[in-house]
Amino acid sequence: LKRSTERILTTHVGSLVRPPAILEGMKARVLNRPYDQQQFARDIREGIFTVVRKQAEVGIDIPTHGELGRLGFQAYINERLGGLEVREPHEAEDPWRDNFNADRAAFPDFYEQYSKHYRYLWMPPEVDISEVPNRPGNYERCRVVGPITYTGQAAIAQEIATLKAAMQGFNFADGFMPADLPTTRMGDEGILTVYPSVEAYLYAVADALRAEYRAITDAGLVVQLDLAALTIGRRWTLTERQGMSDEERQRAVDEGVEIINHALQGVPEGLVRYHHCWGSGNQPHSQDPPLRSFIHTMLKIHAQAYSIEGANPRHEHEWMLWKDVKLPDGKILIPGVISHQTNVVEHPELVAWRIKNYASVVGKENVIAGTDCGFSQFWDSIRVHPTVQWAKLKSLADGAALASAELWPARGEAQ
Amino acid sequence: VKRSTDRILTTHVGSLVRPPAILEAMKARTLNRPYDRDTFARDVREGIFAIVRKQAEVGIDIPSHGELGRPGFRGYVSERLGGLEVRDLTDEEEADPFRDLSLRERPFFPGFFEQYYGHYRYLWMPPEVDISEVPNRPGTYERCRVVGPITYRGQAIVREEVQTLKDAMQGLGFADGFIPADLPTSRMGDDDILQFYPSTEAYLYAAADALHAEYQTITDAGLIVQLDLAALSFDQRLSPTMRQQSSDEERQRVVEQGVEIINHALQGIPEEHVRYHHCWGSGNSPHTQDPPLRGFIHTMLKIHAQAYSIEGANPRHEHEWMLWKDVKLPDGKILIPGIISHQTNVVEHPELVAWRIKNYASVVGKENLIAGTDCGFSQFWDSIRVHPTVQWAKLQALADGAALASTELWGAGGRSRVRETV
Repeated sequence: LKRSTERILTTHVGSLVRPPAILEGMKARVLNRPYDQQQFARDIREGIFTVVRKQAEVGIDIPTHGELGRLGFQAYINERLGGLEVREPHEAEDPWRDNFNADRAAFPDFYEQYSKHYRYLWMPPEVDISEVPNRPGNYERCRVVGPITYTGQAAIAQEIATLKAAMQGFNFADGFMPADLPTTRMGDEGILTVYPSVEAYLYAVADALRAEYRAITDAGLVVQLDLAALTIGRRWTLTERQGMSDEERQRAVDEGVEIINHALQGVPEGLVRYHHCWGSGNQPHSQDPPLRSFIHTMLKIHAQAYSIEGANPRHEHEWMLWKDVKLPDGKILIPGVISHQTNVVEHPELVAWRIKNYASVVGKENVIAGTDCGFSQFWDSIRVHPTVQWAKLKSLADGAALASAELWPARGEAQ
Repeated sequence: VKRSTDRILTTHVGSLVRPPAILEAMKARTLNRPYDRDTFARDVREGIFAIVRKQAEVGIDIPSHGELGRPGFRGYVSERLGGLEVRDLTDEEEADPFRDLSLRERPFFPGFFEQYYGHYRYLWMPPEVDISEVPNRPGTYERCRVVGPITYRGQAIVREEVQTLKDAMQGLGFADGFIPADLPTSRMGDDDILQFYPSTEAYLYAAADALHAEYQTITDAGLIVQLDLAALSFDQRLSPTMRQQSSDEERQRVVEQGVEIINHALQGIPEEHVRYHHCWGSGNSPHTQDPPLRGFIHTMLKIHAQAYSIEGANPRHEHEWMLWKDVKLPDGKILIPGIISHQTNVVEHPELVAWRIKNYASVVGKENLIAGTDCGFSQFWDSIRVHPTVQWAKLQALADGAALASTELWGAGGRSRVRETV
């Protein structure tokens, strides 16, 4: 990973709002309707070229392809794994049941209304999703039907080639691509019909996903492992089992880290970053476990950089934790200094101040300015209007330039 | 205004989410449909008792009546002024009721505002209150015409508000209580001013004289009056034409004149019973065109109020606490920064609240600080900014964070926020 050696570099968490043509394609896929796959592929390629150019224009140093061609940050992987089959939901299976259980218990009426409106707020008016069932982006459920293999070679090669082609001619520091984690698969059905244990299954998934990570890093891009694997109380974590004691939970989390590190075997740490967030919904988040409760576990993941939330009011103060916890030598922190959970655009002076706070505790060379999370984790979870998304990313870059001028007074200029 | 002498006191900006029964009556009023006024009055009184108790429970030291009985922070006053008549909207106004809002910012985010105006009023309306028949227009849609000399005729209503708030506060051990009130300067958009007054200025001074009676009633009762409009924010106070055409100096002159009019309205009102709230508009919108606080802070400080309530929790203005390193808060004054934002559903962590308070304390002094919110939670009956359970969680976080900050700022000698009487 390139470091902030002369100025604060900027990046974000990956997903960007998809343009209407792509949203129409996604909608058709979700509804199992025919659509022109070649046109869809062209729209994605053009869309990636556009968002990469736009990232350059607003001043992002380490861009992505915006996950434009993926259904969602997690859902995309189901079609890239052999031995897995998407299953029909069971009768009376509540598609929301696994989302934010603890916070939901504290704010049941909030969630009742929120789950009914959030997917519609920023869907472009010309894309009518009234026929799409109202369910969260992670609604898809899978069944294990055979040994797990990675079958996404062509898909990932295409993504990589498109991102690299789109980055051509711009002066980016690096490029990154998010990828799913093996630990997200523990909710699959039928695991024990094929594998002796859930653990054995997850190690097999880790072996399969390694192919995706290596494809990304072999191409010189940074892979971002992309899921809140350490957060307690989420379906896709190793910590979900009800009634666990704190020790059991910690053991499960440690086991998750081992599985992730197994998936990373042979992947150069210098090309890996890990993203932690507490879920991207614009929700109370009152039950989020504090960063301090798992920071040492997180730092065991074999990544060079850690992307964490720092801009929303549930976690903004956690920069102070780094007064007590030393960021290990050689590591990089990518704090969120921009939030997708309000439409208010961060003032560049606020961005600069947040960056300087982080620089004061981990060192300016060890900070890359980022965002709390993506702007559209699923094609139909658009967190802010796209014009607000770009204004926020521009504020991120403008604020990083202000901070750089103060942190490197001799050099003074940014980009 | 009680000070934070041994711990950080807490307050907010005034409006709270109205309960469903009151919302139904507001809807009926808006639609000119009959409703039971006696039941409405009872619902308002009971509602105020309930939310005042709730404010005590979460740890608010200086509560309000939540503006429960008012349709909005501004619209409420038109029925309290004689010489004023609500007029029908013109076809043009009906066609785009949002046209005068966010004029500076809309050109930058047209697609955003198109969608935002289409959904924001519906997000947190309780499911049992069906507002599909209420036209989709902003809380400020009402237009008035001057039909005679302006007088204040809201005595009975404001006395009722004052009495209800005082009754509701009984025995709960609050430090103070406050009632928001509209400003004379918000009347400059009325029609037909020149038919009765020689100039807009003369009219605004007359409105100031009239509103003085409302302020007086509030402070005579021992409550704090909060002057409640973004009078200094160009976008909100100037007519659309002026906003687009006037120069910076002209705008500054208008703003200075506005302060004089406000101070005229405050003549004879004890400054220590007055607080002034400034915000840049409460919509959850980008706010990229908000003028910075530093542009008008000295003007704001000329308003004859003891305390100034300003935004400090949303990401467009959070950094502005640092401005107080360079600008001295005059002796005797109190700052009420927003530590809690209504522009996100994420509930502020009490440790973040404590940190924000300590930042302000470091620049203006802990005794000159009361912890507040950026704005109200429902400026109009149908502008509900967050779900009510989130509103209360945020106010609870405010009080919890103030308690954390107090312990650090006063050490063990500081008083707990738990009042003996609760």
